[in-house]
Amino acid sequence: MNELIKKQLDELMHDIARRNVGTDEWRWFEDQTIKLANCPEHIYLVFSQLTGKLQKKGLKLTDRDKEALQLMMPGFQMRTWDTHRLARVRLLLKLRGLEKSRYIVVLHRLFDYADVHELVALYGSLIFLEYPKHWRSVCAEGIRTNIGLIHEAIMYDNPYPFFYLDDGAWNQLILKAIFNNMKLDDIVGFYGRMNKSLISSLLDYVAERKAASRSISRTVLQLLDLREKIFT
Amino acid sequence: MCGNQFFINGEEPLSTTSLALLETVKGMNFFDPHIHMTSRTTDDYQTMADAGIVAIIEPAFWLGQPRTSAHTFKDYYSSLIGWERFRASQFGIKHYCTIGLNAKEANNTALAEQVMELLPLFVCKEGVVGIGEIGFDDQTAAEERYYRLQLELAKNAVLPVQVHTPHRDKKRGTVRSMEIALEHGLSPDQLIIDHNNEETVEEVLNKGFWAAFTIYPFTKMGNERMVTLVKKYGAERIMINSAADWGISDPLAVPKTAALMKARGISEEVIRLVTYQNAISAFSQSGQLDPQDFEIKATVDQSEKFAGNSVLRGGQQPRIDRSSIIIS
Repeated sequence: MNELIKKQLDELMHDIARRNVGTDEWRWFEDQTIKLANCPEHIYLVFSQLTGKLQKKGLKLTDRDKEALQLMMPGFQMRTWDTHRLARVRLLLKLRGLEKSRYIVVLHRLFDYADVHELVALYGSLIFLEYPKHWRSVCAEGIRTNIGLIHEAIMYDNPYPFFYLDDGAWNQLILKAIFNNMKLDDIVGFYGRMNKSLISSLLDYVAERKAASRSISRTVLQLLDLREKIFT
Repeated sequence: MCGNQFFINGEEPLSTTSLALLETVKGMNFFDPHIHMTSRTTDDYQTMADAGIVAIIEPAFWLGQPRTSAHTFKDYYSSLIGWERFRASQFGIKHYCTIGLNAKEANNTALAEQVMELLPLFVCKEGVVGIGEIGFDDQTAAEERYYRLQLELAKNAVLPVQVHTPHRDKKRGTVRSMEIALEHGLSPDQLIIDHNNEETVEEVLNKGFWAAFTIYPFTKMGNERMVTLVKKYGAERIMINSAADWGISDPLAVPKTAALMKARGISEEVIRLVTYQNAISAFSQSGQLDPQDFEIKATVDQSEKFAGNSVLRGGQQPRIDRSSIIIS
């Protein structure tokens, strides 16, 4: 992500937050961002504490917000976001100026002590983090969990996996999404990263389902149909 | 040959102890403010949800075997605000927890010191409704030290405290727990004194603390005794829980006791207070418990559903047909 887009996204998120958070709550939040500028480690506290300070409610987005998001970051959407999640991502964006090793230590520690909702915010913001390649293994680890909300944060409306995961981790994401009956159409780039290994796994999957007399989702069959167009 | 005396066919009156009595409290909501789901199965979650349990609190406790590293404490606390919370949501049950260093493990002072450093990182997390379960086991000096330190933590974080009272020398341990809390300047209504019995209840109520009773077979309260106590003391500041864990215990202790109370003529309002509302009132002092999160009755986890998005989120678990031997 180039600096201009980062700046535009930052401004848009600031606007959306300003419109969705009450005045007193906003004042508290702004105070925290000032403290954060002086002491980045303050994020450990405020990342959790905000649940008691900001009312949690679904974000109200205008059509203009949605269009602007699509232009700046294709695939990225905030359809299921609430005020807490947005506030957390705003806090993460404030850490950008940190020196690399300190930035990485702070981020890992946030992941390490996070509750489910904090993890949702963290995984959902991978695309906005500095040093994007560094978070590949973190993302792959998130796919390995069995917490559905984390899978959704990684898979739905999130372009990070499509752009940064290697084929092995991407294929696991797709297979896990299929096995867990997730909404495949909401995965950014679902049809876009077909590879031979994934096709072979999907063919095995279809054969297994048939042998067990279990249903097969139409989307999976469509994905396999696609392979003929790509590889034949 | 089958004896038909066991069949309930509508013509015979139900036994006053029959499990079918649970039907008489169908439609009521229950809150179990002390249950260790980490040690329970998914079958338990399903039967609890079916019996009307809509929300629970899982206090941090001793896992049955002493931990030897602060890292295993950290992972345990993480699981209480992570995996276990998600697991409960799959069955439509709202999961809260209390975080603390239990009395038994407070005796490993080298480890306890490290655990105390972890606690502030967890107590301000979403859905952490108190410090617990803490208090006395053997009533040693080390237990007292960490009980006091954690009371200070509760005071600073403005959180309720879930106090475990000892099995042995219970009355003395209970009184001591309350006196120490007052010494630290905590308000009595900030503390939920747990595992009461006939010998401790009066003093707990008289001093203004919440009195919780654990319905747990053989070692703690039986629910017939509980009915007698509710008849005697009423519902004010009294709540019941199952404390179900890895031992022989019953995750349906709260709804079963509600049914028994109803069968023994206790009013529905008193039952509601003892099995639901009082726990909510006590623990919502944390600011982390909103009844709206679980009062909307549905088969899905409504707390994970947002305005305008009616799609199930978080992976609701499919049900298995218990009336059939076929597993598909």
